[in-house]
Amino acid sequence: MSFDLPRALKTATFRFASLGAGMFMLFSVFILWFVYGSAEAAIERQADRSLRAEVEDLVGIYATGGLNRVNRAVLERTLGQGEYLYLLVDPFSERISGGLTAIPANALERIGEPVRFVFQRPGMGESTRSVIGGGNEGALSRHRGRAIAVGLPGDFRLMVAMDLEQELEILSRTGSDVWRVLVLIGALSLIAGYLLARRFASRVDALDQVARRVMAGDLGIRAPRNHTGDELDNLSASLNAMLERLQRLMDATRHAGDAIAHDLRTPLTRVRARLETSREETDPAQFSFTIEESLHQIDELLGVFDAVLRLSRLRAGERRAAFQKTDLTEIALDVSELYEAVADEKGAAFATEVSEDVVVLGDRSLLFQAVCNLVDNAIKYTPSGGGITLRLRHNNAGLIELSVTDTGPGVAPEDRERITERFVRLDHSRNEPGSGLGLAMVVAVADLHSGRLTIEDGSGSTMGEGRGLRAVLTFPRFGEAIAVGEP
Amino acid sequence: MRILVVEDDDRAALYLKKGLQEAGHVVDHAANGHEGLDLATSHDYDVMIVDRMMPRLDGLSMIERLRAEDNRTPVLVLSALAEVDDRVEGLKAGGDDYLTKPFAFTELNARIEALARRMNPEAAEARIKVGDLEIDLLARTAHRAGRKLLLQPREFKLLHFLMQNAGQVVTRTMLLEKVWDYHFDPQTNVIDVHISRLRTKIDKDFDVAMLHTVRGAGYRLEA
Repeated sequence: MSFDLPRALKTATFRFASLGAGMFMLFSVFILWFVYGSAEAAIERQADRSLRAEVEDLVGIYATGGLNRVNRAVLERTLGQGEYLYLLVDPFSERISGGLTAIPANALERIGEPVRFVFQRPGMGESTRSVIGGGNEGALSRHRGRAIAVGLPGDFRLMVAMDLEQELEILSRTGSDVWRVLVLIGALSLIAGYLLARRFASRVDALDQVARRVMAGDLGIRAPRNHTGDELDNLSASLNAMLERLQRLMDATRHAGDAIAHDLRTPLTRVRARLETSREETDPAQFSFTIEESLHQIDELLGVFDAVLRLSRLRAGERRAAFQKTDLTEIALDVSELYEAVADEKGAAFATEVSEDVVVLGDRSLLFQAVCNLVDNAIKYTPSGGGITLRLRHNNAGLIELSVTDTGPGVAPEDRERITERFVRLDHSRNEPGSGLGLAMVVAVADLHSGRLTIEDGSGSTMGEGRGLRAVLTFPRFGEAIAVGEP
Repeated sequence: MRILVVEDDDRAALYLKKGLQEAGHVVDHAANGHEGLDLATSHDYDVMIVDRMMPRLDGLSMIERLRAEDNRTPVLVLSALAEVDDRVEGLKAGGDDYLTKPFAFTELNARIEALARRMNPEAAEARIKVGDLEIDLLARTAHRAGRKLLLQPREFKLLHFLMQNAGQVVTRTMLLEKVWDYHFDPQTNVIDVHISRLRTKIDKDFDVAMLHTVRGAGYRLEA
């Protein structure tokens, strides 16, 4: 498949340009042929009219003066060097007078009708003209014209012809000039097509280069844009947006990877140390205790693994396809049923204020997990004697609002934005057991449901234990358009 | 119990076989879905453990074929896919339970015991009795030694499940799935709190404790 053509010749643009040029040429040739034909016909028609008039005149002379007068007229007119050529022959087709040698066969066949007539003309000054009989005869030049032959009584025949060589010559010269111009235009369009194609190919090349660099691992590269809004510019823009998204996903994965490595390293080291010491352990009870503890820790590690994996899958947004109409009221009640006992155990009050029939488009398990994480956090940070409230309602802004309020120490306003961000980025604060990852999960679930997590002041220092914290999840109502948000 | 393990990975299969044999079961092993299908149709098993991803015939297709032939042997699907959708798919194909790799052997053992028990016709009875503990599924009441226990609906469900699996270990994840009907990963040991509440109600006023914590595994209810 390797033709050694320049790349531009293989491009679609060049193919289209050549096709265009080819079509143009074809139409032009057709039009040229048509115009040439009709111009020639017009010249001949004109000549035919004059020939008929001349023949009528001579036939009129015969009617009044007979053969002799016609003969005289022919002789006179031949010598007069007018625009007509004449020939008068006897019944044996012998020339009586006139400048031509014979009547051509086609004129004899169609007596009284104008026909095409080709003859040879001697050089200037000679008076004899001859009907073409075959090949070239010396210096004679070939002329085109029209002729009419008529019969006279007594089998005499008279032919009048007209030389159109000059007119036809001009016509055909003009025709060939136009033809040359056409060829030139065709060639120019091909060249223009080639140049356009080269320009196009170089822009496509630039895109191709970008794709190759990306394949080589450089996700930071972006396709060049000229901001004209043309197809290639739009393609570049889409490509760049795609690369942007890819890069963000890659970064997220890398972050997750780093975080996993960080989270797993410390406990793994601990397990390893414990197992290593237990090699010298002689007390069987102590030995089996060590094994149990190690297993427990490994399970926790696996749990972290799972959580991180789920989180990154969530962020990739692939769960949206399976969304269903989900009863958030039921979920909120189930969560409070599950955690009421936990709060109670800790000596904190747990209150639930849940509106009925709140539904969202979503994933039941994920929403349950998110609400659990919020409640879990609230209980964790609420001291004994404090209170946690789980609320679910349609708020004034027309959104579904699920909030968990506690009376714990809360978070300073200047830190709120930061912690939310930090959670999203899975950053370092995950040394504290359970925290960080839990809220990051909530944010990811909220994103997936086109919702939002905001952190606000809690119910105030009613218990004298600090301002408290209110974590608010908002979702669009069921049935309202869910924009596919940027996660 | 007689158990069929359908697993293409030799090391995993060996690990399963060894563990199950140590737990006192008779184990057959098939290395792919076709082999598994042959064994399952020619022998009677109490439980089958089927890996999801296998060459030639995958686990889910194998289960679907078995179910199409009206084979009702309980199946535990093993899979490396942890997502809820995958789970649902596994259960839809005719699996009875779904466990994600890696898993603790105790978890697997607890689940297959529960599976085998579920096939037991006595589970369909309206009353279950374990020692002096008795529940009435129709009246939704529970008694121990003739004394009525005041249980919340969820506590009743929890006790019911524990009694169905009396003498066997049930894990925390099993409880979350079967009693609370959510497949999720609790940040704290919420289940422990509920168990300890239940324990207060059924054991506190009696000399013999029935609800035991099995370290590193879960809980066991025993007469």
